[in-house]
Amino acid sequence: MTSAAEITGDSPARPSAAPQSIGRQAWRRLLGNRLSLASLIVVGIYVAVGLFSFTPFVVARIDQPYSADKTYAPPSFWRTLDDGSRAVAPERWFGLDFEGRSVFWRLLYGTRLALLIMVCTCAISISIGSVLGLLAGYFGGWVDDLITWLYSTVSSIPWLLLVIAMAYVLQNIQTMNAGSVQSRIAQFFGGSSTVILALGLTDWVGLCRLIRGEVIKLRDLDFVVAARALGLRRSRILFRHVLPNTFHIILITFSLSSVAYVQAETILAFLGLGITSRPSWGRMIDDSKLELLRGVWWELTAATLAILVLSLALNVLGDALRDALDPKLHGVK
Amino acid sequence: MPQPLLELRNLTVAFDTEGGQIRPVQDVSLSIYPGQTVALVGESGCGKSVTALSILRLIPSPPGKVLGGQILFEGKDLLPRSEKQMQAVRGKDIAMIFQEPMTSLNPVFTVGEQIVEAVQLHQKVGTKQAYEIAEQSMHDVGIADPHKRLHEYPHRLSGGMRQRIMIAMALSCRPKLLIADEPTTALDVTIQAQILELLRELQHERGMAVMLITHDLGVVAENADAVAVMYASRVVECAAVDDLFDLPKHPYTEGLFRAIPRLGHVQDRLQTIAGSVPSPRRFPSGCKFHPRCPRMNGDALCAEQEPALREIAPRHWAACHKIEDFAAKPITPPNTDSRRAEVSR
Repeated sequence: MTSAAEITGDSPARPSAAPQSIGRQAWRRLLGNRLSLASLIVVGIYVAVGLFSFTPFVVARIDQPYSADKTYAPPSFWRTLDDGSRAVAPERWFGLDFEGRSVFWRLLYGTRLALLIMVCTCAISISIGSVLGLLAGYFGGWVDDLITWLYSTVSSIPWLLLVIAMAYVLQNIQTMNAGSVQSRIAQFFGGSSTVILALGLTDWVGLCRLIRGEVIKLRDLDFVVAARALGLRRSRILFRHVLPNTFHIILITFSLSSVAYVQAETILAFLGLGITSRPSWGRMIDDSKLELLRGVWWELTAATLAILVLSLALNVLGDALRDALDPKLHGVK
Repeated sequence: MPQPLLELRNLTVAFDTEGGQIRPVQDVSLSIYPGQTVALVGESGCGKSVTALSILRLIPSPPGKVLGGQILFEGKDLLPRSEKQMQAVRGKDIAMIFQEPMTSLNPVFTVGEQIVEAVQLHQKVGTKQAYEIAEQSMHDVGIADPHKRLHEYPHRLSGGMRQRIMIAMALSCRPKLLIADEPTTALDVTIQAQILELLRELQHERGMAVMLITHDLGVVAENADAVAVMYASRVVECAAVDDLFDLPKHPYTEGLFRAIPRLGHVQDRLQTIAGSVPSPRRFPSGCKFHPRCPRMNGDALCAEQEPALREIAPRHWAACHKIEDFAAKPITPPNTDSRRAEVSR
């Protein structure tokens, strides 16, 4: 027998046409499509803006009044200085709100909150949904019965009612424990932690169902039985062999439900349950609903457009992801 | 005779279904000696695969459970062992390969990663060394350019290649027993011959025992040392391969041999076994073969009493009440010669 080292030496270098992983193929298909590429860029811009708004540069500007009389100003590109000359003024690009605060900077800060909500809520709901779905699908029996009962119960309560109830409870808990660590965390989340928890803990049912179904399908496939025949631990089979085969579902759920979470935050803010201390997009819409009567249209428009463009981009991206990850469409442009 | 490597004693497996309990494996006894190949033959649904899966405790449970009997591996019973102890047996002492190579590999990992996982599971080696072992074992199962193939995803490989990968994975920890559950059924004939040849070579090289599950008597004649024929959950006949092929004692085995077309023989019509295989939900009373048996002749004994497996001739067991009445006459071994020509490269 030849030694392994010899074989390594003998065999030719890896060919240029390296075999492509499923993920890499999907990525290439995603970049090949103009629409999905555009949506990817838009999402990228949002992420960049969101990260930028974590800087003190933005944070310092959200509550600062920009007009001397602390009142409205319509959008303008310029700012008139004392000597009558004009200077470029980003803070006035989207106008000033009823306290003279810059809609532009507040909108930027809202991106940060929206991203936080999207990522953190998805992290919570996807972990709960996928782990419960995985356990229910793989083990069946009483585990499945219990989890099915749990998600049936959660989904039988009207979603908004559940979220509102949770938001109230969590708000109270937060005010009770006003310790230093908590307040620091609260500062980081800009008051969005209530919304994140309320949404994350209620919206895992759909994913749980999908994963459960997929795992029931995968459970009896030969490669899972083969993994057991090799002597693998159960947890390793579950998380290394079964779960990765459901990643396409998780990825698509992420892209679609993250939009829904931003929208849900708007709804909660409109009901007075969202983020109250910081300017989220929902709060901006809530603030401007009365001002609309006075002809102040810019704050509402800006926040709505920000949500619209992000939703559109993520929806297109989710659709493109579904296509890119669909093995039946392999080779189809 | 030395101690058997694996010995099944009166193994009975039951499944709880909505229509009541079924027993796809009943009272199965079987011995496999080190280095030997034992074939388990029978029609679909006769309990071959369930027998194999229950050795490694891989039957879905619930609804499946072992009702009784013993599974002795190197003299020690596997049944009372904990799941953790079974994990140490699986893959290390007893490995298994499956029928369907297209679905036996995880589609989201490269074959290299999967072999390495198998290697590292039972051997304390670093990742780099594990990759070298994986490459070596891919070389051993006859995969050209293993260094490149390591990084391939399963969907880029053919069925035969994937079955070779499965064999490489199964053998990477040098098991003492390999259970091959219809390893070539899903492959075409030339690839089938290559895979069987490969298994034979590896078995010879490593002194490993093989339990070969198949319904192809040609494969049995070519590969096995001993054969156990299963019918409707029971072993009905068990003997060395030559004895069984020369002088089948059980009417079912006889019927099987008659039902095989022979190359080079002009034959009007193939003989079949009348009737069909009983469903495990409604096994007949007494001898499970009696409704189809040409020997029964209205004998109440056959319909009432389950025949036990008896040693009819030295090291030749059969379960039939009527063996003495019908001293089996030699029949020409069915097309094994022609199959031999077809099977060997």
